[in-house]
Amino acid sequence: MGIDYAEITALYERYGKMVLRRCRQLLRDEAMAEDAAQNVFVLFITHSERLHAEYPSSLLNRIATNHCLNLIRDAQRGDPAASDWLREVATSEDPAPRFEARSVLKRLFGLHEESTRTMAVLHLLDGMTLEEVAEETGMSVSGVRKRLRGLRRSLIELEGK
Amino acid sequence: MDPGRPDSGIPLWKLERYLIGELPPAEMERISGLEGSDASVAGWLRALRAEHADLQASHPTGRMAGRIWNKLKMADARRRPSRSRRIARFASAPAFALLLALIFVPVRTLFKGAEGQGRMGPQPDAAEDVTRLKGSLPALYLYRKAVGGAEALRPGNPVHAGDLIQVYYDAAGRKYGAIFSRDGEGKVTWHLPERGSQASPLSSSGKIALPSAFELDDSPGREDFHFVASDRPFPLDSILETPPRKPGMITAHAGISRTVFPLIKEARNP
Repeated sequence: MGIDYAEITALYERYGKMVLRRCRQLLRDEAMAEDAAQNVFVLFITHSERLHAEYPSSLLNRIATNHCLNLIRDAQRGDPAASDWLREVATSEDPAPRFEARSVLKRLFGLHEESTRTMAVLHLLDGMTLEEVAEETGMSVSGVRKRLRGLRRSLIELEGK
Repeated sequence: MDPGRPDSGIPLWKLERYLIGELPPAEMERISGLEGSDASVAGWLRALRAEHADLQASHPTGRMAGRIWNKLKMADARRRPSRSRRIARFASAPAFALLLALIFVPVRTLFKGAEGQGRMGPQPDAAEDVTRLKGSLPALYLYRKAVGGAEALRPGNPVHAGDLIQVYYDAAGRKYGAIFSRDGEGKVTWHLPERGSQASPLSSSGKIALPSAFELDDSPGREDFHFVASDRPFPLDSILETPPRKPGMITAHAGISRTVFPLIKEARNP
């Protein structure tokens, strides 16, 4: 497997809380978040980028976001009511832009690439700037802007239908 | 606590990276300064640390790392074709199939022997009747005390602090041996011999129980049981220096064989 148990322990010790926080934030379910966090580490350990990552936290955060969004998408397929998670992502205490995030994210599934969904979460939910999203995802700023613009465009079209 | 950007203007994700220590040096320095001078930053960092402490308590490292390890092993096993699949693939080529047919009986005998001997823990029902062939490898068997009897453990099984483990060995003809376990923190416990500096004489035939069972402590992570056997006496400290890195690895060289039987220690659910 290319990694021993002591390394896994050290890895989890350092990044586990961040990954769990992200999973809990998106999934809103303690048991699902724990299982998802374990899977995130499995994906991370087997990810080819791991060995070259300057800041593993960045790659882990991206994998965690992507994995949780996939879980939500899969849950939505089986149960349309599962999309209610997005209503909960934005609690009443949240600032106004969060409502935009909710509205955007709700329509993401099935419309755009996985990486675009992850970018949207980083930008709209985490409040990363376009530059920060670009750095986090390894894309150019213009590429991120283009993807998010495309996303907004499809949402406007959806609203119009 | 999920707002993207606290009052200070520093987003939460960045504060979290600061706690992990993975921001560029200038940014680390800036936030460190703000923690001392900006009440908002200090407050958010306090809240984040408290949330991290809560996550650590409800998802302890021992349990999580153990499960990640198990999932990795399962993923690894899924990726690798099993021995029977490898044989099937080998047999699909006609020339090799003919060759296999010619040597089928000895090959089958070989595999049958190896399965019986190389296993670190027995199949619950098959263990008692394994007939050892000349040249077979020593084996290690672990059982956990359970209500009304004992449960045979397999490598990688989850166990808990307080579990009582009974160790058995089969020397397969080797004359000297030693059994020890090493926990996740590197602490070594000798089971055979319990004291002394030289390998213990082994009972040469059948499955032999150690005189006493071993209670697992609450150290987190793995507990690897090692069984090292040889035809000659050897000093105990010589076998601690080169533990195999991979679980389940069996080595047999220079007349010494080593079997490693890993267990994964998990915290009990509260």
